[in-house]
Amino acid sequence: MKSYRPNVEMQKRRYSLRLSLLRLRKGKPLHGAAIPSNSEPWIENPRSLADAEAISDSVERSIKGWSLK
Amino acid sequence: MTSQEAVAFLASKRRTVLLGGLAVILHGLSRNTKDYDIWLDPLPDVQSWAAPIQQLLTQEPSLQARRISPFGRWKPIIVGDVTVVGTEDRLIRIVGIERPIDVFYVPNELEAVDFEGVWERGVPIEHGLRLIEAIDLIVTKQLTDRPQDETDIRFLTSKVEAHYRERLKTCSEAEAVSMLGRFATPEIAAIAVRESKEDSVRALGWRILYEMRENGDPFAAEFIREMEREGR
Repeated sequence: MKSYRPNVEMQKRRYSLRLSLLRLRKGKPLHGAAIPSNSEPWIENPRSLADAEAISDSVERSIKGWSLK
Repeated sequence: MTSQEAVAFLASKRRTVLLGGLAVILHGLSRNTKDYDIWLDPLPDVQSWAAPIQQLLTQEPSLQARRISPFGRWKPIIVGDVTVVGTEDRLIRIVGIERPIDVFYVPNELEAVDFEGVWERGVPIEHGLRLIEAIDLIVTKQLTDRPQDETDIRFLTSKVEAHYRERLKTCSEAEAVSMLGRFATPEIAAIAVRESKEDSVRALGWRILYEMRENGDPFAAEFIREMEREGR
């Protein structure tokens, strides 16, 4: 059985990004509570291949629709 | 024939596990993908693996097999070459349907002998097909270094961490050893230290954090600093 531990290089990139964001805020905490996720799933609890294909196609259409022409 | 029908045909002939982007979607991440990735039981030999693919290609002349070239292009192959290409490339692509199907002989980061465990841990979906378990799916993506895989790994990792977070609070040492032996992140090791009721599980969390810090993980180093400040 294969096991998983995060790739150290990827962890360093994530950590570096986090430090950069912290520096942008000059170390100050964010004000107020974060807004909870307001996105809605294309299909709640996908279970079948048809569900997975429908989600993929919806995302594809959405990307095409919103991309800069 | 549709892609789903072709996948169902293969799954009816041989144990088949769904991998890749569609598997990530069924685990709950909304993203797009162009193809099916499936793993057909590779044991006992490549001929057994190739037989249902060759049967499908023979029955449905509109379908063709392709092999990946070094430049990422797909070149046509004849039905008789599926066995040798499967061995050399570890996958073949079936085209001629709306969504190509990449059929793996052995996926990235796995070996043929891993199939049994991956199948056992998988969840039945339909047509006899199983969805690869989240940790196994992360394993197949961990060294590819593609941006999409990084996103997939972060999503799947959060999902596994949420499950581990609950279990680690009350689980036994034996269960914690088994869980953390299979999957561990600095966040999860820190949860074991902070929230487990068992001394032995907390000690295990510390050991993993120290190992990760030793290997250069900056998050592990930060958790250790934080918890030492907290006087743990």
